[in-house]
Amino acid sequence: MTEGSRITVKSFLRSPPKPVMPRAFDLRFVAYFRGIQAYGKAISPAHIIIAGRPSLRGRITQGIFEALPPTVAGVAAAFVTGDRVGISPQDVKALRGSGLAHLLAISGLHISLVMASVYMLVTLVTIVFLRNYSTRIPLKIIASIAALSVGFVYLFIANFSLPTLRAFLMASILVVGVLTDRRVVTLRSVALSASLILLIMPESLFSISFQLSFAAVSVLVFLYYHSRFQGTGVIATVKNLSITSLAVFLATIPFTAHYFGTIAVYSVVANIIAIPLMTFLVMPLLFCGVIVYLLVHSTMVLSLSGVALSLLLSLAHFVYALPHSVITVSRLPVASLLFFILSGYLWLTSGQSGRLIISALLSIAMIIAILPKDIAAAYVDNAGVVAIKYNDSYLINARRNSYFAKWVHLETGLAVKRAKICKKRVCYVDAIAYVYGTKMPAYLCDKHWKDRQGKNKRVKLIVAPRASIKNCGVPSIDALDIYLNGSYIIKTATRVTHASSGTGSFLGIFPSMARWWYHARTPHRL
Amino acid sequence: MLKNVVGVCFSKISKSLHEAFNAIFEGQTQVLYMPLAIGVGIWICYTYGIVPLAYVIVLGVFGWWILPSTTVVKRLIAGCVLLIALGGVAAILRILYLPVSPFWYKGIYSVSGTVIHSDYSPSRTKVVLDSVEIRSRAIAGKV
Repeated sequence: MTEGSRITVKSFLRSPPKPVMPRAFDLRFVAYFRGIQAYGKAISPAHIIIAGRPSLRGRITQGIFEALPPTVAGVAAAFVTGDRVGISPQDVKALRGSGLAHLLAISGLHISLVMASVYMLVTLVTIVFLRNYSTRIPLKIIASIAALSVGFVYLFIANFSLPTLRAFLMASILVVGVLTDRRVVTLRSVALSASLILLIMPESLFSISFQLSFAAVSVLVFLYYHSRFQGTGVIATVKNLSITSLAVFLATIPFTAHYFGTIAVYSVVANIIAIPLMTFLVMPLLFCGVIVYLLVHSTMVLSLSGVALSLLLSLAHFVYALPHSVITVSRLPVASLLFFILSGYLWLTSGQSGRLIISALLSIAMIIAILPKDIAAAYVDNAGVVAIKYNDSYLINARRNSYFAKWVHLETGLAVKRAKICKKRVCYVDAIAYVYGTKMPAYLCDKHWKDRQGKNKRVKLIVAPRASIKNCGVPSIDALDIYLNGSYIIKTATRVTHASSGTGSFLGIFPSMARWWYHARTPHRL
Repeated sequence: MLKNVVGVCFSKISKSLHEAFNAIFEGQTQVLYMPLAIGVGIWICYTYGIVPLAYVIVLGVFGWWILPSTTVVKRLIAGCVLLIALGGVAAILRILYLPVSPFWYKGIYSVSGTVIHSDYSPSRTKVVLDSVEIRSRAIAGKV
């Protein structure tokens, strides 16, 4: 199914789902900026009405799948075109667990390899074939323009993904620097490319790809700028690689701890082996293979790259299989992550002069990270009470998927059990009444509940996920609130937060307009 | 005459470019703080909304206005406020640029559309369809 084809398909469609809970990943936010209205799965074979012409990207991916066995081909396609559909879940798991998943994103490593090769090739060709004119023609300009053009084509092949765009912008600034005889590998060029990306695609600020990518690059440039990479020879190279891997590992720990709640312990060691393998064997073979395939339609060189790729995958699986390769940690709070980012930023930009402030910020970040968490009494969404704290664990609705269970565990650090919670229509926990699928006023305005000793207590908050209640004399969260604001976290009866008050509520920039928009376009389904 | 005008323009542009290159590659440490300030503007805008962003900008302008004219702090505040506002404006423009209309009813549909992006593998293919037209809505139980 190539780009440009017109197809008909029967499919199960749904709008992008809301985040499972406040602060959880919001697919609506991502989908909005990709211009996607609905997601779906085909339930019948697609009929092609008009066949399109295969794009360059499609042709490359297809060639890779023709030449290599499927498991290796999926990873090869991800390295060259950024197409990750063919990677098996086991390989993804192994690459993540070994800290090598960053190789799947087409970033600085790939772009710099391509552009540097073109730059050198053009220079060499010009010197060899135009020997008599080589002193008169602006060699540097021609080579730079050629490198930039090929870099842009690669950006196009990689579908303008964020890490590729970042790398391309960085490389462009670098080329401009070379042309104007400036020192180019500086934090200023990193800052400039970050600013440009933020102005063109502001949503990328919340993307983990942007955050990880700039954290890693900034640290690497800082190390390069302060000449931490010294010497030649095998020992010096291994030392430099170790410094690089360790620095990137340390710089990205707060992000991985915040987003995934995991730390790949052997990532440094795995990268020391994988990066040279990737730079000197996998990528050159893959690029040569693709060029040969496009020019003469031969898959011989591509097949050779399969061996190198198998080595890389074996390494990932070996490291992942080691004991304690992945440590699961409780999710790092947002405030702590922000302080980590700020201290890192100041460390990179101010150096020695801001040592005191940096230490203070780091200490605050660590204190927030180790402080006992303010655990919620319950989580609620339009399906009802979906998680509830019970003694030292969480009971989650038996119907919820494993992603939700993992999310609750990450967020709270407590064990999670699946159970049927609140079997009755009304249940009370810490003076919060939960009312299910009923519109009976007697339940909805029940202002008292009996505690375990049988004493009457006043209800402080009513949660009615399936009904509409107002003017009951008791604060409430009803179906309309959940519909408009998404899921809720209830800490206590007076401390409640909802999904729309967290990151990802893009409509939150015009709150009243958002409400009008929902009301105007949505039939009431209460 | 025209030659002179072009010459002056060219020299001015070249000088500005030269200064810009200097700022980016060598001088101006402030360039380093640009993404931070722009990011703060975007973060406030997408997380808390346009009103808190307006408060921050107004507060910044007020701070800039009440401070004595010669301080370094005044320049710092002006720079920060401008960049935060720039981030906010970029965030809002991006939202307005992509008016995606909502899709409300989940269910089984017969759709036709043009493939604008395709991720290929022999076992499954992921496509993005554009200019989709919904032909019919099937009843879930009967498909």
